[in-house]
Amino acid sequence: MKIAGYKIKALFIKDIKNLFRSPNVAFMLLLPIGFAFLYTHIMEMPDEAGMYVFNLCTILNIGVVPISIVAMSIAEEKEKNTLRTLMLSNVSAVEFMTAKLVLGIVMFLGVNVLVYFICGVDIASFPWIMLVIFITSLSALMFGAVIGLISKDQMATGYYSTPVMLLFMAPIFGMMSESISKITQFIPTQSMMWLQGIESASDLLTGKGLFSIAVIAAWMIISLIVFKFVYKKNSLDN
Amino acid sequence: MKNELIMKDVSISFDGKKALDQLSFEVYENEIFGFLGPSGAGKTTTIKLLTKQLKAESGMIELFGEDIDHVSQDTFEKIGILSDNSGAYERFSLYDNIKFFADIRRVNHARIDELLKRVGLYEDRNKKMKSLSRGMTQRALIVQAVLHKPKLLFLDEPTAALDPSTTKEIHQMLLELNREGTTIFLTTHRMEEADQLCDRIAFLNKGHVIESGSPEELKVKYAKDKMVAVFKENGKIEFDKSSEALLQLAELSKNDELITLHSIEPTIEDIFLELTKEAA
Repeated sequence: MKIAGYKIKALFIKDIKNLFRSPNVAFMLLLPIGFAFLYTHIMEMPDEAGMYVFNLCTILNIGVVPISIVAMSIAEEKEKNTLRTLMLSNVSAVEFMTAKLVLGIVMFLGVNVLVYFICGVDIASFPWIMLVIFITSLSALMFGAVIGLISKDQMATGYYSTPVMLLFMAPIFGMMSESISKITQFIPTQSMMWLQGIESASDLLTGKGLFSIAVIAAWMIISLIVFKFVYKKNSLDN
Repeated sequence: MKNELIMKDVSISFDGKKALDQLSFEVYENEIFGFLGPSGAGKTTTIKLLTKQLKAESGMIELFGEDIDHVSQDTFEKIGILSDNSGAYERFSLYDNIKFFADIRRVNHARIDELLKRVGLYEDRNKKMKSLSRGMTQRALIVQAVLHKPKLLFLDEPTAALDPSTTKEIHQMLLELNREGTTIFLTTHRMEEADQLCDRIAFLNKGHVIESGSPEELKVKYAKDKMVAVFKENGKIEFDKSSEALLQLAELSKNDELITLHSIEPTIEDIFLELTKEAA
């Protein structure tokens, strides 16, 4: 299967321009940044709360960008028939989805980097924390793509993305309750928070470390399988 | 003559109802082929099958000599399509929208200006797509479809929303593209458009082709065996082509000035209506 880099580049630039011309998207991107600023600079929070606020805003960011914005971006192309026009202009599904996923990753990481510095998290942990967040976000991106493919228009993405967002955001409640955390330990954002907090590489090889890696990997595999199934089902008019 | 595309015994149904029933036709290289029929006849379904948006239940489709199920993705580099579900990016300007498709197709940006001028949209190039009228949007989508000088162009009712002068301009552009080597498959319910543009046409009714040929061949085939003479005093009089009628005509001509004399050729619309009446 041929993949043309120049097409992905053109698609990506088009997607960035198109999204930033949408007031809804601009507002959604500002949400995690706004919350981070609110909690750390306006409300009275203890200094050590920086990481806690960062995790809250990261989980919010996962719900907003990879799940909602990517879904809306794909659904809009279906709604306005531009997806059909692209496919008939010799843009392959791989090229189209690669551009959307790259868009999601760039926006998600961009927002998260800003949130990182607003929350004042230790700069030494930056590479490891961003790597863990990036890997965790991949399954969210795939689910966002699935929602975009099954939604007939942008409004419909709200119905499908809300339960998925709540699922990824459930570890926030897990932070407040021991019994809830027993369920949320199977959700990748919970694993993400645990992995971010490790102090040495040997912690990865502990039971909890391996379990967290397995949860994130399992969600990635499941999201890929679901994506492949949904894509095949929706690729033709009949 | 080389076949650019072939459809043979193709059938497809929707909700148990046959939309196309053993449809067969061929389109030759470098011709303009018209596919005529009323709304709901299956014209758009045919284009969707030819462009792999739908899969046929039975039959064979060939594109550029290859089975359509085995054509590579690169085949679509040679194809241009304008249909009723062609889309554009509404938040972009007209120029930026076309420029994006030019970048996808690796077309020089100078061609954008050339085509926009041809369709009379150059002055509107900075307007947002969503602010364009239906006719302007249709012209923009035509530009999108022909940007890369396709080898095979599918046009689904291309001038449906256009005024006569813009339609004429589009026709000129299509004829020029055809002279440069583009094969055009055109669906329309405007019979006069097919008559003006097409080398061959096929009539589609109830899911299959009921007649095909060049417009001239069809007019001769379905011409009535009559003539009409227009006299200065007596006005229009119809004659059959018998020797008695010719003598009658000669007699009349002695006492009255004969202005014109011609055989009665049906229009493409007349032929279609007659054929669909028979088929019913």
